[in-house]
Amino acid sequence: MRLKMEMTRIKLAALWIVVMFSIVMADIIGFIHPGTLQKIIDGDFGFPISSELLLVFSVFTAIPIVMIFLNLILPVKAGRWVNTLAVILTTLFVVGGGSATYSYFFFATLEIASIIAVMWYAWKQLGKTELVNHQPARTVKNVV
Amino acid sequence: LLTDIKIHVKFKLSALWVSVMFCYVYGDYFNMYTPGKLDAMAAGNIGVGPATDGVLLGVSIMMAIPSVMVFLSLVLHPSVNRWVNVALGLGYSVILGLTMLGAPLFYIFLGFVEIALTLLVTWFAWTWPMGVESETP
Repeated sequence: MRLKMEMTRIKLAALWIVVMFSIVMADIIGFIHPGTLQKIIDGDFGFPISSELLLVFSVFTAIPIVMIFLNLILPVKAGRWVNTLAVILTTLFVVGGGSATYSYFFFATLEIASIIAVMWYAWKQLGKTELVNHQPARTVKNVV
Repeated sequence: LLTDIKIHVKFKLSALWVSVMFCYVYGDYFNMYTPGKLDAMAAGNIGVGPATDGVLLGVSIMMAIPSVMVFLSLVLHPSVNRWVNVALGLGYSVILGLTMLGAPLFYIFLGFVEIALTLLVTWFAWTWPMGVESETP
């Protein structure tokens, strides 16, 4: 049996997973960076860490998180624009939330590379389907 | 008729790397609760020596590879994909084994889970049937 498959959606979801793991690991390694913990304890960032600021960070973090799922369900046209908006906001977050360390530059580069790939897949591939050989794992009679 | 889709090897490999990454994230996170660990971290000591920018870049690259494999397992050509996954599955099993030496109990547990997952990566990649069907999806 031949089936149509929207493989691009899964690739897009996977790219956002890569972005998320990069953000998580950049944050954890940021903690490990000498001096970061002391800065947190002293609140010494040059600006106050308010609950409003943490809300803003949470909103920006939630964007790549929900894109993992949204890419599986959004209609093609909406998917293109939502991905574009998410890419713009995530780029702002990655560039704005940075610290001047090799490790952060590395993760930021990986994140930007991933979201450039997101743009390519969203605008050039999304909506195309490919035929695949479908082998059912098992077939169950619907007894309703 | 209800049919269940047969899951292609690519998706299994991709999902295994997601699981591996969560083991890493939680290994690192719980490790911060180990008494004395935060003091050592604040002092710039991460167990393998001083946490210089260079060392942390190395750690970052090591953590980024499994993460990128979530995507690459889906898009690399099967002939390349298979060998990259066989090699990285084995490589990461060895690396995790080394970091488990002298580690706290919880880390050893997560380490075993992680090694099981990376050995499964190698197994699925090794037994990936090469032929016409391996090209799709």
